[in-house]
Amino acid sequence: MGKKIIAVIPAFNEEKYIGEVVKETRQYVDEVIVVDDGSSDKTSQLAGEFGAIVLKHKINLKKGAALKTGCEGAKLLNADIIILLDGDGQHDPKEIPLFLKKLKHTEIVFGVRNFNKEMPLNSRYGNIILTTLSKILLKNKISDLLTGYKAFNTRIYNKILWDSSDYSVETEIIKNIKKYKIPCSEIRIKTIYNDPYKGSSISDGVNIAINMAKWRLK
Amino acid sequence: MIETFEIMSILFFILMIYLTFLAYRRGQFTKIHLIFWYGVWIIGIVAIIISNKLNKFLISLNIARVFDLYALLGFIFLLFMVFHLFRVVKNNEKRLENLTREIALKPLKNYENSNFSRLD
Repeated sequence: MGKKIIAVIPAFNEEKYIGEVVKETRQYVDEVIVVDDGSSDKTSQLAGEFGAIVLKHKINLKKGAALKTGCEGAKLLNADIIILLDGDGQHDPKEIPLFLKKLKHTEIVFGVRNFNKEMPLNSRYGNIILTTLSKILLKNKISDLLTGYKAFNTRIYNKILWDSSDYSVETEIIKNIKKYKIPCSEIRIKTIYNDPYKGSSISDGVNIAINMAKWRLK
Repeated sequence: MIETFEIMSILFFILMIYLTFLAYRRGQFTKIHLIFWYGVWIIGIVAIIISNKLNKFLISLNIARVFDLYALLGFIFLLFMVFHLFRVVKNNEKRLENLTREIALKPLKNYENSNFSRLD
């Protein structure tokens, strides 16, 4: 019997892209869970219409909390493999098979982007600075700290489980991987930015840097 | 003789006693909260009234004026309250997150044996 693969997609006011993302993703996985993080638009409705299981947050809790809800949901549905991707079209679902192939030899796979001109200037330099900082402070080798596109075996979920409710979630997962010496790999993914003003901001970057320092001191 | 600043301070504490009582009557405070905050405001009033009698005590602490002592104590109290409120806010954030998650996952918990709708 094959492994049950569930994709978890956090979404906040993503009516523009969510339908297409769900439709594409369903071709490669058994179930798609969309966590509507308190959207005020038609995100839930569209995700449901395109065949996703929709879990609704009554209020906006931010990305880390939405991901946790989605992963808890995937666990309830007995997922063997969980794939995390964003609901804003930043991640191409066609790359899911590459993750699954790589996951046969490791426990978690990160999709890493090229920090090229496709990436808005502030995100590019923010990523470079934070990734370098994480290599120094957390001593990890992941070359894209803020990537939200990843796949992992559900059995390691309890080890990588995070407390961060915001964008620090990606960094905390990497910190936990290092802590528990979990085998991990990277694959190169496309750099797609549909809306340069969405996603993490400079203040999120500062917050991530502070959290890294905090975890280092612990 | 009582100075203007002292009168203003006493009036402030009386106002706070009234606001505390109001919060209690509206059910926002329990009896324990009422007693605690009454205690804080009454200690403030007493401290102002007996401020002239504290001079000997102040010399032993190397503090020049009685209001310097009150400012110091007030600052310590404020720091304590900030710390306490930070903990309360963090706890409440966590509780709110857990509650929101529980509500979101509720339909999924019956997924296997119900007609859970994908359309929510």
